[in-house]
Amino acid sequence: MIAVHHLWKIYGDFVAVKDLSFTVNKGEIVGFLGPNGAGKTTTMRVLTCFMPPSKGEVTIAGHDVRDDSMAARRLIGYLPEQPPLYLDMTVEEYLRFVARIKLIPGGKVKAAVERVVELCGLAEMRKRLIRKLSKGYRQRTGIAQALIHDPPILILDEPTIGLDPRQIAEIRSLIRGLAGEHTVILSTHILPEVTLTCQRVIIINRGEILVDDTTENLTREGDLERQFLKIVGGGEELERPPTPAPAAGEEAAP
Amino acid sequence: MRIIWVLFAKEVKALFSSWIAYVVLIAFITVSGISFYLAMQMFIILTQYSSTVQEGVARQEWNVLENLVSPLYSLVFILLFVMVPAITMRLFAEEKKQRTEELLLTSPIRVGAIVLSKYLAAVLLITVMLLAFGIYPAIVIYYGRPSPDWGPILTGYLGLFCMAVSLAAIGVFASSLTENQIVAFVITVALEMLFFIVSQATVAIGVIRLGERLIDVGGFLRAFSIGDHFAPMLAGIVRASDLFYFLALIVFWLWASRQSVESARWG
Repeated sequence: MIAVHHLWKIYGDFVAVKDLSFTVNKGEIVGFLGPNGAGKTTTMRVLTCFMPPSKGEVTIAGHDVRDDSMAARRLIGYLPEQPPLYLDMTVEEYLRFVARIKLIPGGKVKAAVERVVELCGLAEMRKRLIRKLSKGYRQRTGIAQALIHDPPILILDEPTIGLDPRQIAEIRSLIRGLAGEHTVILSTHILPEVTLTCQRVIIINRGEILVDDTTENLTREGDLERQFLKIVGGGEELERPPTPAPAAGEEAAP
Repeated sequence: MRIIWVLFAKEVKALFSSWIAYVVLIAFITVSGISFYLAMQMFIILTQYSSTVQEGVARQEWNVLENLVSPLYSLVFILLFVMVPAITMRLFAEEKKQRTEELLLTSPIRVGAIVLSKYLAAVLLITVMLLAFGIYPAIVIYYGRPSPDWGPILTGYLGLFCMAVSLAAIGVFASSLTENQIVAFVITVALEMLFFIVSQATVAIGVIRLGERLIDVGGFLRAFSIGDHFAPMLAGIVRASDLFYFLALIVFWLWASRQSVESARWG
């Protein structure tokens, strides 16, 4: 479904992604794991056709992200690191707008909005201005916009960041529910998230893939946390708390 | 086509929900109304005074076109220099700031459609502004005795519109450069001023001697001056070359905006 072949992304003289290659099959949920600044967001931006690769080839269901990007974009639902919300719209207006720019035919927009409102538990908030929503509901609205055109591929950049534990559990079960029909790549630096939601893990550091294996294999020899630190940071970091606490929201919800 | 409509409707709504549209409309209508009132008072005083004196500067034919409409249009011309950037400054800057640009650029829609729909939303608001202002020239045409020549009044009005929509294209471009609306505003005013003061180049630079040949650099630069293309319209002359100039400005700056938005992809 997704094929990345020797992908490089270079900004000026900074190499953000270095010779990345991996494939994701239909129906897989893949966790994209790495410390902050490892190149996760950059890779996702290339996959979603936001930015073209500097070198290498990326295809989405056979469509090249550079040459056939319109076709590729139709197949992808994308939740960026910061959900792309229009604060002056209500949840419903916003979802209707996204449905239209994702080229859902006019007659089906209403049904599409209903579906994601239901799926993401936004029913009570649908008439609210997004500006007035709490962080958790904003995140859900962000996930709803990624799902609105029922894309076969979902790319979620830190989907549970800034949510409370109950919301995190809900979002995770929502993502697990998408398995089979949908292909999902989610990035995170929260390790348990991967064990709980993903079948496969790609660990990336400084733009390079260090591990590409099933969650099962990785957790066989002890917990993933140790594995991760062994791979990424070296042993001396084992003493430190391995996962930074999920960053407190940069802007507190009003 | 449908996608342009969807994006256009969103922009228009955003202009009104962010209050920019109301503030700009109220400010423009108030200031242009006061300008009209003052220009009218001035005109009345001048004509009354001139009928009481026998000789001197004041003793001349005061004319509605030159002494009322023309000064009024010139004031509005300056007003538009400030109002247009206020309309356009948020168009892309806000998308960048809220990171919604990423949503637009990963959707299966063309950047050209995004730029065009934003531009058209600005044009709509400018049109509403100028339609509201149109009451003043209409009053002059309707009540002016003896009936003024309405040709130049209308072409001057058309000139204001052409100028405003050209400035809007510059504004769209400036907005695509930054996520800060104030910066976008300042860049727009600076670019506008460049297109305005370039007419001074005729005098300042003039003709440059290059070996045997004389090159009229000043004259060449002057061709870019907004004022010089607006002036004939104020005088009642609509030339194809002037219309083409405004069209070229719009096309060029919208194209530049497209390139600029597209370049956001390169990080």
